[in-house]
Amino acid sequence: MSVVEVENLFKTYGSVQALRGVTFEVGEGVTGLLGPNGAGKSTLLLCVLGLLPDWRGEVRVLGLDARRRRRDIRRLVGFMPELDARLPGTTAVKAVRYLGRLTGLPYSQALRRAHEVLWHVGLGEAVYRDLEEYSAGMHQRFKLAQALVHDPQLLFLDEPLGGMDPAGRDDLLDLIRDLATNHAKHVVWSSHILPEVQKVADAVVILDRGAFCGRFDLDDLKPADHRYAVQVEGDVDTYRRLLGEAGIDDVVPGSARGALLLTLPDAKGVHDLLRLSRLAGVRLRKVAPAGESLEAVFHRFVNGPREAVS
Amino acid sequence: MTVHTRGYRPYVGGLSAPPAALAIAREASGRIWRSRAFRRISVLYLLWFAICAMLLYVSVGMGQAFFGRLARIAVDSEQYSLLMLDQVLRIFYTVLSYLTALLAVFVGGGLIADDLAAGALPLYLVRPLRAWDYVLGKALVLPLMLLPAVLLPGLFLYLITGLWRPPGETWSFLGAHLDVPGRVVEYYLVTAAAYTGLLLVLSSRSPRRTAVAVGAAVVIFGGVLLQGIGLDLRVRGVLGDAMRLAGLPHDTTFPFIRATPVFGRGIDRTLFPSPESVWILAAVLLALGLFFAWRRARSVELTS
Repeated sequence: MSVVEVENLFKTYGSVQALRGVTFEVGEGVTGLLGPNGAGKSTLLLCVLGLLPDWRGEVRVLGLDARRRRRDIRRLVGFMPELDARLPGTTAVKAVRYLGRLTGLPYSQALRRAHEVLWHVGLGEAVYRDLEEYSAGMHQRFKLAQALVHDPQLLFLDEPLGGMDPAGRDDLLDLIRDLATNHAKHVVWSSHILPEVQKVADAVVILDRGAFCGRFDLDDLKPADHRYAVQVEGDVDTYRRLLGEAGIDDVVPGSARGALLLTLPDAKGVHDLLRLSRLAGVRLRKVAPAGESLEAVFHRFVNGPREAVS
Repeated sequence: MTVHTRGYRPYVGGLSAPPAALAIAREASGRIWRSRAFRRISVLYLLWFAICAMLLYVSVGMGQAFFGRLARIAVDSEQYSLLMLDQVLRIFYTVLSYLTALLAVFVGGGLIADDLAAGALPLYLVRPLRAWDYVLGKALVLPLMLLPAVLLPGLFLYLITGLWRPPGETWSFLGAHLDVPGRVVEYYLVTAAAYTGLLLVLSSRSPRRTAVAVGAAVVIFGGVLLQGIGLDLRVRGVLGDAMRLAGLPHDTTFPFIRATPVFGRGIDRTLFPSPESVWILAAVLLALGLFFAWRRARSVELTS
C-alpha cells in the first residue's frame, strides 16, 4: 500500500523552480527523503501537507486527495518541522495539550496524551518547564511529541535530529524505529545526513535540485551471500590465476588498483582466500562482504541521469 | 533505559472538530493574562475604575445633597444623576483611552509577531483548521481583553447610577436612558475593532514585537497629535474631517462618549468626526487587519 503518492508535482518561488514535476510513491514503514541542501525536500513536505499555496500536480496521502481532503489528512498525520517551532510563553505540557485540542482531542484526553507523549520522547522531567528554557535537543523532542499527540498514522519528520548530541540522536533513532515497527506508524524522514537515515529507513527516495532522482529499498544494499570485495597488494594476476585453479571463477576487477570482486562457491570460505594469497605471495589488505553503501548509491543517483524529470 | 521501552499507548478515542478560533483566542488571551505587562496595566485599570466608582458614589449616593445644592439642581432629579454620570463617564473614558492605547501597544503587539518569532505557524497550520480559524482566533483576543476593561466598567457605572436613584425610580431611570449603555457598547465595539485591525496589520508584518509596538505607538499617538492640531486650529472641510479621524483608534470617545445627545451639552459637535465615519474607518482597519493576517497565515515560510 502506498501511504504517499506524488505525481507531477511542481512548485515555484518567484522565478525559482523548487520542484520540477516530481513523481514517486512512498510505501509503508520508514522512508528516507534524501537530497542535498536545496534539493526541495522541505518544500515537498510542505506541499504534501498543504502548507504552501500554488503548487501543481496530484498528491494523495493515505489515499486522500491532498488538495480536497486537507483537513482530513491533517487528522491522520503528524508533522515535525525543521526550523525551531514552539508556542511562545508556555510550558511543554500546556503547548502539547493545546495543540492536541486543536487537532480534535477532548480536553481530558488532550492533557493525558500530552503527558504521555512528552514522557515517551524523554521529556518527562521537563513537562512543566517553559519551552523557552529548552535546549536544542529538547526542542527536537518537543516537536516530535506535538506531532505524536493525536496518535497519527503517518509522521513527516523534517531533519528531526538537527542540534542533538550523539546519545540523543541514538535515543530518538531508536524511538522512531520503535514507532514504525511496534506501533505501525509510517514515517517519511527528510534528511541530508545519510547514516542516520540508513539506520532506520526501509526505503529511500532521492531528490536533487527539485527533481526526483530515484527510489530504492535499503534491503537492496545488503551484501549478497558469498560475494566479497578483496584488496590485493602484489601480483594480482598470479592471485587471480590461483583463484581460478581453486574453482573460484567469478572474479572481476574492482575500480581501484588491486581490487577484486568475487563470489565464493559453497565449498569455499574466506580461509581459502588467505591460503591462496600466501601461495601467490601477495598480501590481502581487505576482505569484506561486498555491498554498495548508501552514500555510493546516493552519489550515483544525484550525479547520474535523472529518472523522472519532466 | 531507552525512552521507547517506557511504552507508547495508542489513542483509541475519537477526534472532534472543536471551535478552533475560540480555542486559539482563549489560549492567546490566557497567555496575555499571565504576562507581567498586562498585570501592571490591569492594576492601573482597576485603580482608575475604583476611583471613578467612588467619585460617582460620593456625588450621586452619599454626597448628592451637597453637590446638588452646588449645581443648583434638585438633588433627586434625573438631570442631576445624568449630569454626574456624564461627568464621571467622560473623565473615566478620557483617561481610559490612554490605558487602552498602552494595553494595545504593549500587549497586542505580539498577537501574531510572537508566533512568527517562535516559528509557531507550522504547528498551527498542520492541524485540521483553516487559516481563517487562526486569524479569527487572533482577532478575538483584543476584544476579549477590552471587554472587562472598557465595556463592563462603563455599564457598571450606568447601572449603579440607576441603583442610587430614590426607591422605585431605578428601573424607570435605567429604561429611560438606554442610549447611555448603547453609546458605551458602540464605543467599545469601535475601539476594539480599530485596535484589532491596526495591530493585526502591524503584527503580521514583523516577527519583532518591539518593532510592532513602536509602529503602533507612532500610528496611534501621531494620529492623536494630528487630531489635536485639527481641533485647535478648527480646521473644517475634508482636511478637517481627516485630521479629526486620525485620532482613531485612540480617541473614539469624541463621537461616542463626549458628543452624545445625553452628554453633548455645550460642546461644538461639528468639530468631532461623525459616528458613521468612525464606524467606517474602524471597519476598514479591521478588514485590512484580517486580510494581512490571513495572507500571513495561509502559508508557512521555509526560512526563519
